[in-house]
Amino acid sequence: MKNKALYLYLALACFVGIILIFIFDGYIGLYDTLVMDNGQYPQKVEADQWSPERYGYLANTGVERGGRVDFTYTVENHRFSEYGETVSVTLWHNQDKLSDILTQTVTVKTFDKAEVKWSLDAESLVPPGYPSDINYNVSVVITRGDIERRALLSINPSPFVPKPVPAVPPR
Amino acid sequence: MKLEYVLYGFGILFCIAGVGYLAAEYVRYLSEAGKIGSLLLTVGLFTFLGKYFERLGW
Repeated sequence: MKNKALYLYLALACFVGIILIFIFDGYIGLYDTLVMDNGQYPQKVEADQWSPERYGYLANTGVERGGRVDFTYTVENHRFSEYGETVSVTLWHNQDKLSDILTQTVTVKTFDKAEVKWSLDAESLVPPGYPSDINYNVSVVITRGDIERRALLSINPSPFVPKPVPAVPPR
Repeated sequence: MKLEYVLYGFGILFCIAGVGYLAAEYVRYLSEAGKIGSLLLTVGLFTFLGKYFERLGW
């Protein structure tokens, strides 16, 4: 063999191939993200942040009573085939189902994305008679086929409004 | 002189351990096709490296 370094080049080619597999394999797949915008700051849940065991805590956002949260659930299809599935959104408080928000069929073409949007009014979620100074937590459960995603919506008490101090009568 | 070689050895070991750890973390989330492809290329990598050093007279 004339070229002494041929085997070295082949070994380097194998190494580059491994790196390319890592990059390509990481890109290929289905990825879903959720943006929760409470009007003050949008909170984005990336595709690798859904698992509380891996990520450390449940995806969550907070809103004051009387506020509104806009949700945008995005499904990105990085595959060579079209993807279609039914997406449903339900609200839960502990183990009790509060309501169905939507059920929608999502179809995503190859290397494209689709969005599902909905909004929640915080005031309408809090049951009547619930103490006004205590948080009320609602789980937003997004079901896409066999996959279930959960986000926690914490409805905070309205900000404390100080009572005006009565004027001190002149002595 | 010998101490230098010991330090080189530690450096090489730490490098291999670090790269191995990172590779293991990546491989955990690879698809089955990606895993088999990576395995084949890894076998090829060490085979060609072995042949290269063999030709050098090691």
